[in-house]
Amino acid sequence: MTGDEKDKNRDRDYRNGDSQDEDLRTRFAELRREEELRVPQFAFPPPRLAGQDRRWGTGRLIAGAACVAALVAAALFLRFVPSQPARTGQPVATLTEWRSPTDFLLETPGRELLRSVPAIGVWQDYTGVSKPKQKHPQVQKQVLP
Amino acid sequence: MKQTDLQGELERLHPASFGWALWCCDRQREEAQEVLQTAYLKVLEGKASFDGNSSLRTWFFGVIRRTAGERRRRRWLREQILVRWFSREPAPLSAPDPEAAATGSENSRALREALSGLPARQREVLHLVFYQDMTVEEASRVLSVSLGTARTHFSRGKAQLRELLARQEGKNDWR
Repeated sequence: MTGDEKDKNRDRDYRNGDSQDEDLRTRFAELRREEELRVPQFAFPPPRLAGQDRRWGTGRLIAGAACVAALVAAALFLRFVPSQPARTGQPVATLTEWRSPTDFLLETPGRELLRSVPAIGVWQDYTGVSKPKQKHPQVQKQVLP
Repeated sequence: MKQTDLQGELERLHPASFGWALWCCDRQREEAQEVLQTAYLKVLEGKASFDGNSSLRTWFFGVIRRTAGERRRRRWLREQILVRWFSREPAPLSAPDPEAAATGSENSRALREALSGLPARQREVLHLVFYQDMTVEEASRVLSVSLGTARTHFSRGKAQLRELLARQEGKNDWR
């Protein structure tokens, strides 16, 4: 017996030979009989789906037209809108010259103290408070003869 | 094969094809009709062409199974999009053929219930062999699996189906 024949025999065994399968076969046959009574009518070509397909065709056409219109609009926009801002006669402030409108908030009292080196003996009013008036004149020490 | 011959063959196969489509769609009748019509349309438009390597039935059942799978995936994707983007509940599929469930015999109902408890692959092999009267080899072609795999599913499916049916009968006796 060749391999093919063995396979076929085994397949037949799987299909028909097993007598225990008869119960299952009977049950399935009963189910099939019941279901065959309720099979819808054969329609070839299927009319409803053919209609659906046409609708899809129209939908695709509309979508395609919308895509083309969007591309044309984008092309026109890119064509007529300049890519760089127009230059005016006024000079543009460079980055180093530019000052923020709220820059004054950073000006705190005593800021000069951090920027400059104080000189000894020279009064510098870092706090913005005026120099206190001398209430008492300084008494000069008199050198005794 | 000529268009008229093909149409004749498909008409002859129609009841069996519908039965198979029903099982591929978890027994939802409307969905099965849609699947079958889509499969017919595929044949008509040449998107699925019969190459003659297998029987027409095996080939067409494969087309039905793939079509059902495509529709299932598309529906799943649509549900994901609807739920995620719009937080809206998608329309649920209709229940598995309530009329058939009500009118079928006790045996058929028990069989349907037991089959629904099996893994999909086992259920498909059993359906093809017992319901469609195919050989296991033909079933393996429809399911695009090896013969050995189909035999394994067949044996395990049978054992499990018997067990489920016996359990159901035991339950009914107890009642």
